[in-house]
Amino acid sequence: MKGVLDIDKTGLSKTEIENKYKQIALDNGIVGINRDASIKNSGMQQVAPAAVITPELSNLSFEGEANMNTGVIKLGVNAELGDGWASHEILHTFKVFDNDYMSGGLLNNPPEPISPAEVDKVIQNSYDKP
Amino acid sequence: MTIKNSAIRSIPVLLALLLSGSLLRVSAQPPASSKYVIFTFEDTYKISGGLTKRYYWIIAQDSIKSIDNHVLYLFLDGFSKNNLTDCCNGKDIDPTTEFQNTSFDFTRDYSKGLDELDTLMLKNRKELQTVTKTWSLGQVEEIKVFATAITGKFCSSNFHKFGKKISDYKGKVYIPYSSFSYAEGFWESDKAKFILHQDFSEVSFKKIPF
Repeated sequence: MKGVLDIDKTGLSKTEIENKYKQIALDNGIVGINRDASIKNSGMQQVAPAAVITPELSNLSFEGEANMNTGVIKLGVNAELGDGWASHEILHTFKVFDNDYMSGGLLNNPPEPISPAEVDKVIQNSYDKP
Repeated sequence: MTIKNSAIRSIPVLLALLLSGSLLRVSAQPPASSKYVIFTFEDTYKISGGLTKRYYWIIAQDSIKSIDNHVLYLFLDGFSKNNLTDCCNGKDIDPTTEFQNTSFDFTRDYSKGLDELDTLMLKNRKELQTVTKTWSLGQVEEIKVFATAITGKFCSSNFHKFGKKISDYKGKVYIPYSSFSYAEGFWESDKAKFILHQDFSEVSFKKIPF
């Protein structure tokens, strides 16, 4: 984990703020090669974006307390949320998406310890070192 | 005198054309302006504290004959500048995957345009249906479906094979480009009646997850 200076939001629209956070996530991401053969053979190096944790909530959710953005990059986590919610949101950065919040594991509400199925998905979605 | 006047009149037009190209600063083919209907699916899981996610789908007003094959996924955010350029040039895109050259450094005017579109949609949307799903374990999902008639320029291309690894979505995807306004008069047309009579309760609107 590393700290970076927050963006100067003066005069910025909500879309500009979102995009600046996404750029931070990319600039601090890790280059990797997708494990899927068809993608791997394309020779394109992907970036696993860093999770940017900030009290700034995404414009996608106007009611929620914790959320993520498309592209699994920026996380808005309210400090008053209970245990497990930051981990729940960070799990999304591995492209493990919300389900019905009732299936157990870290994606449950409230979050529970991570399940074997969720770990499998993380491994399945992980990138190899170039 | 006539020539001089017409030349003067053409200057603002030329300036506007040059300015619009330089403001976007993307090597993209500008799409033509057209009329669309944008569907917003607001998905709320009550047990998760009211967290709401929005999914957007779009249909060209000319194509309103059947919902099944002509309503396509619209990215209103989450896409990169590279995605915008590629989409407008007809190349396959996947906004859920980032590469070393991915950039979110859009021009201020483009970002403002997206915000204006968002505001237009919120201000002018028409509620079509509310679907409530209840599970035996206590979860309650409420889906509100809205539609907004919009005129504007939108780019479209195929969904990239990278994205198809996490989604079974097969159709084209759309990204907003510019020149958005509310399409007056749509809700008085016959095409509007077709939309107003649709049942959205079985629509798989979460085909591209986030």
